[in-house]
Amino acid sequence: MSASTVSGRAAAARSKGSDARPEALVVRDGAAPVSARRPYRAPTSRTWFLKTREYRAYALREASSVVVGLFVFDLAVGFVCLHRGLDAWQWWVAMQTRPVNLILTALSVVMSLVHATTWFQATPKIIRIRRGRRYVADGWVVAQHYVLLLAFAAIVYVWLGGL
Amino acid sequence: MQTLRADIAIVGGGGAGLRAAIAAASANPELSIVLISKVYPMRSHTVAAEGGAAGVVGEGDSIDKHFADTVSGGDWLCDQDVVQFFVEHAAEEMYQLERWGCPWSRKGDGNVDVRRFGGMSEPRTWFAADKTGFHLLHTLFQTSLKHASIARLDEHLALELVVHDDRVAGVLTYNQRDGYPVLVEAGAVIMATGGAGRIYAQNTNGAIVTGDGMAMAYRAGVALRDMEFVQYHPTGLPGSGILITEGCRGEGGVLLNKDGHRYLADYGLGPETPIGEPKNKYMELGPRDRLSQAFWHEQRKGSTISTPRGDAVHLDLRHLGAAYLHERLPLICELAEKYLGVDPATEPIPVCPTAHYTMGGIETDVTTATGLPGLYAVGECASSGLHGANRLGSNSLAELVVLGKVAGEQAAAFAWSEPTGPSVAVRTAAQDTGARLVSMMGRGTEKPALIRAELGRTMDDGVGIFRTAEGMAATAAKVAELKERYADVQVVDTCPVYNTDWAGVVELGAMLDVAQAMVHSAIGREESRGSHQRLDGFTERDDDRFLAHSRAWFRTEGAPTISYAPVAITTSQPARRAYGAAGAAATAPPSAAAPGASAPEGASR
Amino acid sequence: MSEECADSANCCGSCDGAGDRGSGAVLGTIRLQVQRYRPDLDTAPSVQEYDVPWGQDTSVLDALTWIKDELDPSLTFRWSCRMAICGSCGFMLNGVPKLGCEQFVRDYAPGPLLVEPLENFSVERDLVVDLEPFMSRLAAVKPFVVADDVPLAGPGNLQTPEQMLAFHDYAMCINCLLCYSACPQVGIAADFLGPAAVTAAVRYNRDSRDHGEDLRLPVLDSEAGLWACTFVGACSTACPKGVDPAAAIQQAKAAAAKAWAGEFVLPRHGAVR
Repeated sequence: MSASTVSGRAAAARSKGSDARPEALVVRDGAAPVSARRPYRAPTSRTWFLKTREYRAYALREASSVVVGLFVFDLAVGFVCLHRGLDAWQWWVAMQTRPVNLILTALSVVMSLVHATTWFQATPKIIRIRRGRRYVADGWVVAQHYVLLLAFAAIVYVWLGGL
Repeated sequence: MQTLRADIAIVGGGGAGLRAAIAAASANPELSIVLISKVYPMRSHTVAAEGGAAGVVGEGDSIDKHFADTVSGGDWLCDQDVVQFFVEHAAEEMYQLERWGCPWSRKGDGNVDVRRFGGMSEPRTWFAADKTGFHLLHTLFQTSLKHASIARLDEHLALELVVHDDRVAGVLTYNQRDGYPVLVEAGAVIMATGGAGRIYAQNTNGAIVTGDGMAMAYRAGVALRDMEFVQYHPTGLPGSGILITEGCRGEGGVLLNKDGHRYLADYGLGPETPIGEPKNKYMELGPRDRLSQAFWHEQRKGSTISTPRGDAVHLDLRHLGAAYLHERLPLICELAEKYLGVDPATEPIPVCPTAHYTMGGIETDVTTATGLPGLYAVGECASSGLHGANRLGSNSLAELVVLGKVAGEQAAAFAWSEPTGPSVAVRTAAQDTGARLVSMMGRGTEKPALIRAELGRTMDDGVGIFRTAEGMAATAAKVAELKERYADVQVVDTCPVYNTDWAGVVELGAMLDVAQAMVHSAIGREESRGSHQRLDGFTERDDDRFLAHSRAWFRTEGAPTISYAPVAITTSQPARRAYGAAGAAATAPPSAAAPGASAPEGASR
Repeated sequence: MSEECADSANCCGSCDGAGDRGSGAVLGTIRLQVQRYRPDLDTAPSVQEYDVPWGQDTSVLDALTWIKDELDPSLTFRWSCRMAICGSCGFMLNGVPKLGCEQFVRDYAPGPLLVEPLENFSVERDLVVDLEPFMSRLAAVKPFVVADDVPLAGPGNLQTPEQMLAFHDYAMCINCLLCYSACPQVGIAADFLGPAAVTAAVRYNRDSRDHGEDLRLPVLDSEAGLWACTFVGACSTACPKGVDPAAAIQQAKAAAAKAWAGEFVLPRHGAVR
């Protein structure tokens, strides 16, 4: 191939900007031999999330969102019933004492705690507070969240008249 | 065999190769550049360098001082024109790296910080914590991704330099991923393949440092220069040889023998400087060859510490305190903890001299050109003349970028002005060589692991820190025997894809050729200079006979031919090489001597 | 060197030529179960067992090189520096991604020790995996300083230690890709950029000398970019260098969300600042 063809390719590659593939400039003379590659890819297991402790903990964290979500749905239904009137409200209250709902409620308490603590533990990765040449230790960031949580809970408790 | 055609082929994707590629691409974006590397570039051995790269920036520092330190550090075997060019351009290249994102460690005001290093009269070593090579390599590799004209052939093992019509015609390589040979036809080739430290049994180097490019150029008829000069780094971990940076001593670390005595004071590097107040060119900040030689003497006297992994001395960093250590030397803390179970904040680290750097290599001039038109060489694989008989720490990383840029620009100019066309003769020759080498798979009877182990042992024994005619002759004979056995070396693996058994055997062939050049060059030099020290009557420097570069020329049968070439001396006449108080006494105040005038005896500028 | 070692005929090959300066006394033998795969002969990988002598200092990498030198030269794996800085020797050791050079056999004894290639990558041969997908993802995030050309002479950019803190940890990545093996999304969401590539982008975004954040945003702010990450956090656990890629990704998510919000008010990607 002549030099002008090579530089023509160079100019074309440059005009496409830095996304141009470097291989465009290198001239391949003739066909390449057949590649002897035969890569093997093991498929990802469907139950990967059970494989290690870390994955199982992650799965639990994600599952907690589902449980909390279901509980929130239950509460939403309650609000709608409250709006609809006494009969609907009483129906909803009666529903809460069914075994399924009792289990869901108990589970939701646990899962809310799981959800809160796992996400609090994760916050230091997102919130980095610089103090001079160091970052504030992870423990302080996590602690702040618990303090805020307790403060908020206390306010709500007092506001609702200390039920 | 696949054939590719490019303007420039660069063999080696480390600091030097990447810098050359970037320089060539910037100089002329219309040229096609192929970067050939037997590993992915971020695995290149540049990554393991720790201490720093030198460049004059301090208030009290000067180009002249860096020049003087380098020339005397090299025991006057340096080509002073190269040294002058280097010291003038080093800081500029450090700033260039800074602009490319290299995270140099900084002072509080945001300016770059520099630290003390062995053999340097002023602090001028730029550093990025204690991972300078790592940051340098990643900065260069990531910057190279900006250039569309740099194409990479990763995990391609370079096999042979193809020569035609008395000039370079290309490089024959082997594509490990797809499993076939690839010829890269190019009119300009830059060798940047690194050193050959793996020839020695105990070394600081990674698996890949096997002298491939040195052997390729050597076999193509280019001289290997100053091969007898191999640097023993004074502080490697006993057993593994893992590097403990000179930066530890730059920060104030001290070396103690069995009796807790700072023994370096007994070897012309004193008087003892107070702990925590290191002084340039004194004690632990003396040059590497002197420190390694002091260890050898201590070992003979029985004053070294016996560890399960061999004799060692103690590198004491305790006085620096845990906080300072973790800030300035975090990698060292990690290494000591992991590989020896030692916490440097509370215990001293056992260390011993370990083969580390090859000052010698492919002969080049100040433009990085070799005797073969179109072939350039840069980095540890080259003998540019910068380091002479002993390299100062932090000059090597700086050399990669200063001369890497030169090599890239030179190769670009040459490729543009003297292009080559495709040639049947070149392709046929390459095809034959490729077939011959690939046919080694599945043949032979001699175990390569055994040959490699025996090579390492004999080099450690005969061509180590101190040498004798007898020892070297024994090693020469052993290497010749190993080369004979290598002719029938066994390659068990027959898979064409990622055949590392075969690749290891190809590398072993390179190591044997380079080792032979080393031992014969060492036998020829009947004097002691820098890191080539003899105990057999030739214990002093002999400027009359040996103020010269040795050149080893490959012969297909038998030992290489050794000849000598003059050293380029411009302003610094050979003087007594002294450190510590003796060095201070020997240094006259800087005079305004004109270039070419000889300085008074015993003085260095 | 001991007498037995000096005679090459007696060389047991256990110390790579250093005589008795090597790794010291043999403390036991461990069974290594190594995954093998030859693309020219095999249709699928299989496990091969080797019994390897070990001492106090024997790393898993040392054990593998011993097998290659003494028992089976066809065993193939990547390695180089031996000091956990080049990133070559990543393997799954008993199902956990680790660097072979800094894991010691003494911690896996009495064994057996299962050595497999890094998960979530295609296997080319034995313990060697295909790294090309990572290399193109790295290139895609433009991992270099995007800045105005400042004239060469002079002090260069100033950058205080405080400014360096913002990106320094992210610059420690040795590209060992243990994080890709640990990350389940790399296995599931096939074109996810992955922890190391995103961290490289964040390293430059947070470097005060770089002005390329807008240039990198389209690549990051996409389904295969940041948003494939569900914050499992396994990448940071696996990282041998303390880079904390999980933090880099979550912070990048926050930055991308802010950029999206600001888009309606502030100049957009590619607009001249």
